[in-house]
Amino acid sequence: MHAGIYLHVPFCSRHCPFCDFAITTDYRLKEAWKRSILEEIKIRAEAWSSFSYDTIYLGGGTPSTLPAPWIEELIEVLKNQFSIEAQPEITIEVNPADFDTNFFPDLASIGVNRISLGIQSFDSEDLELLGRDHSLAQVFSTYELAQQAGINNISIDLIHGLPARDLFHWEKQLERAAQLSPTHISSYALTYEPGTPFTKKRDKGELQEISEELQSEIFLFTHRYLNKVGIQGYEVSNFASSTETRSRHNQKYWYGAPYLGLGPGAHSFTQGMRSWNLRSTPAYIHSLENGILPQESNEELNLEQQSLELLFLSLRTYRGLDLNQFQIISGRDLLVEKRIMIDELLEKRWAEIRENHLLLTLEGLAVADSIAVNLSEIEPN
Amino acid sequence: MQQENIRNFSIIAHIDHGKSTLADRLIQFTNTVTDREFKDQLLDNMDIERERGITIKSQAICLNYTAKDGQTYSLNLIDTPGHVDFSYEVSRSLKSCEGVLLLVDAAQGVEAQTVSNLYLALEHDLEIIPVINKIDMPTADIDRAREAIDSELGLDPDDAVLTSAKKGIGIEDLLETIIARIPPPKGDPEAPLKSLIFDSKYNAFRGAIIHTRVFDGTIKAGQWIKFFTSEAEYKVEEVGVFKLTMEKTKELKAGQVGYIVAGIKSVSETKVGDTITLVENPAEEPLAGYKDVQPVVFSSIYPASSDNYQDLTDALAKLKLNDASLVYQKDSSVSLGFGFRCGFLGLLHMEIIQERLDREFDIAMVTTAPTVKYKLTLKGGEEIEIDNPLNFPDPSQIEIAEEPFIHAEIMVPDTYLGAIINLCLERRGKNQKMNYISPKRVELSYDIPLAEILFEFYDQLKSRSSGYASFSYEPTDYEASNLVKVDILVNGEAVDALSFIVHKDEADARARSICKKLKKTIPKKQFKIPLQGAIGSKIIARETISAFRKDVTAKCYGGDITRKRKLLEKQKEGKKKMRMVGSVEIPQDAFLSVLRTDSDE
Repeated sequence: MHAGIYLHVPFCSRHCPFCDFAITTDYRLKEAWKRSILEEIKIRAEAWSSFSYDTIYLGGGTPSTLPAPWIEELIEVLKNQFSIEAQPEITIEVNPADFDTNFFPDLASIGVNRISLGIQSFDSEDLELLGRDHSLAQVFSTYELAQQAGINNISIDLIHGLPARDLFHWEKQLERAAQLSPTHISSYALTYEPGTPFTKKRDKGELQEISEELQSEIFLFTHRYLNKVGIQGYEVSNFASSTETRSRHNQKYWYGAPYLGLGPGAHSFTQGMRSWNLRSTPAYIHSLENGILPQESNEELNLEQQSLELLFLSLRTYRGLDLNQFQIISGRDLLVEKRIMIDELLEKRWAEIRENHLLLTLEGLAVADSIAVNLSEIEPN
Repeated sequence: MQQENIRNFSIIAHIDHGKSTLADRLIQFTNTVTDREFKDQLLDNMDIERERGITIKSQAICLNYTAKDGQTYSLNLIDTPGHVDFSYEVSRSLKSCEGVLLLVDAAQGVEAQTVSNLYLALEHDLEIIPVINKIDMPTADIDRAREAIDSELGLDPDDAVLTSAKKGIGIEDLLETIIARIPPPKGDPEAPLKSLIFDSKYNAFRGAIIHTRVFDGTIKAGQWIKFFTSEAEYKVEEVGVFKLTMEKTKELKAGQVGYIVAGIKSVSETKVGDTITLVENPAEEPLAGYKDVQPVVFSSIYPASSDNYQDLTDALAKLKLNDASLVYQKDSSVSLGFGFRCGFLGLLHMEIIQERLDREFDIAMVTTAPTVKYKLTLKGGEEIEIDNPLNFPDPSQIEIAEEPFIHAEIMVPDTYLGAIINLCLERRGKNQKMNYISPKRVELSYDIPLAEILFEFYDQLKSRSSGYASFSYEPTDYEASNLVKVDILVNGEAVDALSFIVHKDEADARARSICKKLKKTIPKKQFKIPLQGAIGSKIIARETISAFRKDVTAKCYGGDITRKRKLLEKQKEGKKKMRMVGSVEIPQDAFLSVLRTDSDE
């Protein structure tokens, strides 16, 4: 599998109360960040020169707060420094806003061919709760501008499971999403990350987290609904209108492909080694201004960790766990060793076995993490 | 050192009356340690002692003091615990002494434990020096303390030495009094060796180190010694005395307190209370040993993972060497596998042992709820004793069930009197007596079933009196009681380690409370888990743990993967510490949670 490049743009106009990503609202750092990331590319280019890349992903933060010429310059540099396959998937995350009419055509001209649009919800009260500063009108105008520029591969991001919202409310959001006929949808369950304002409010009782039952219902409903309207699920939170419009880049994370992460907090992975950059933008800049690699730490996965990752990552996908591959990495034949547990999963219709893959049904997918933990436990003989 | 210049003594007192501080002061005054080496509670070596501010193990230290008469004396001080659970330990120490300092708190006067320790000292025929301590306290009342020494202890109040260990007042006076009043040890250094083992410690490099008091004879390195009980023989490698650390000496003579290293590998051979003699020219008879102790509280300890059974076995053997009052035997449970049934002198003793196993040996364990020893008369007339709910017979076979009672004495400011009376009544207290010892202070006494104080009685007492109530107890007699055994069923299977014996009137409430707690501690499964409390086949409490439905992480990209994997690794690790009962995992916490009462609900 080819490698991918992720480039982190940490700038946001405000800090959303549920988000724990590496972001900054200090736009004065933009220039220095750009200089730094160009420096980082230069430093890392050699070590990462042996791969050929077929995806570039500009994530954030909010990459669309950068001026189009900067984006063009960054992509240009990447194309010059690394060996990029023909017809790479080049994605940029965009938050709905008022855009200059040239913005998307400029991106299209440099080869951006996929947009991930952070809509989150079609309900203005939801948007307010989530601390988003865009309007519904901006959602539609942004969507249209991108399409007019010829970028037809558009993914939309949604968040489900908001406090005090029921299934009916969520069904309406899905309906409106489907009406746009996007080529891709990412629908994430609201997650209460430690330290975020949302989590603090929930712990104080100011926000009521929805019940596990409702979370489960929403999860199952989302998959059934989107599968029915032809936006087929392929991972816990991801859906695509065709196999070609699945996120080529994101699949690398689940299938253990190598990826190079650039920018504050970005992670890289190759040959069982994962490393990550300093999260703080000023610290990241400071490091590179002194010519030092902004790496915070790294880890080399042992075999047990590699097997566990293979388990929980591939069980997230509709494709499931390749039992042969697992046996090669871990030396364990799950069908023999975990016979009782797997039989139980099959009987409950939480899992199926197809072409030597163990794949989870929707009910199983909802509890994929604990299934992975149970499968990873080595049975005493 | 001449025998006339040796003094062996101990400090005894009620808990918190300042023993360890006084010991610190004596050590400092005699320059036994440099100021740099000094720290508070010097003799309390164990972390757990320093953290809790209590003494658990007796400790010995040898002080050299040049008195006003110009002679140098060797003073062996043995610091002892104050808590009632450890009076056995006190009694052992006293066997090695000729005299004691009986500490009385100038503000609090004579307390329950002061009296019982005095009795211990009298039993051993020791010289008693009353010491009124904490005279610097604003609330000190020296006259009243003198009066109490006279009326409550029957000692001559004019003999009392006044000190403030904290401020270092009266220390020299006290040292002079010790020399003047406590007799030097008797015993013949030329006679056949008789030396009492009063403690031993295990050292990974040197084997068991014996703490001993030589009564007759002399012992030195190179000699062969023999234990009376085990008849084992060893060649002495080293003898010495206790300074801040162990200090090698040429010999130990009659009257001295010190240690012996003899490459003793097996801990079971050094029984505390046994007598050591020499292989050549042995003594004919051993010294009078110690009484065997009677444990009153019982609980089972199982290794968290059955792989650690051997570790637990070794750890208990080593602890036993250091704490002769711990008794245990093999036990096995359907739900928890092999473990040990342990007997303790009291609740504090139980806690301390559990904590030491955890800290000193790093063994993850599951402990079951403490119980007492019940006496049952069966229908056929047979009498049996039960200290483990596993062995409780079917109710239809029981003619009479009896449980042990204690006599509890509680001192409490009158503001909290109502709250404390309520607590005692909730705990089936009876034969209440009340005595105003001052207009604001009440002495309450009750007869309470011992089983009732096993569950957070002490915590409740403290919380309902804002910490002011003090409590001491002594075991009394057995009384008939309506007892039942309650089983706890998890997913339809009885978990034997959760069973308990309880008074019938309280069975429902206790069973309900335990099911509620288990509901909070047992992790959800992919199916519903019923939790039930039952007497025989009759269900008396019920809760249900709902099935879990969703746990998959929403986002999992670059940086999330490491984080997520670490979370799953932690879950996996946590599961190792759980016990499988049928298809349900029960965490260690669950076994502990049933020990807690409902104060948090």
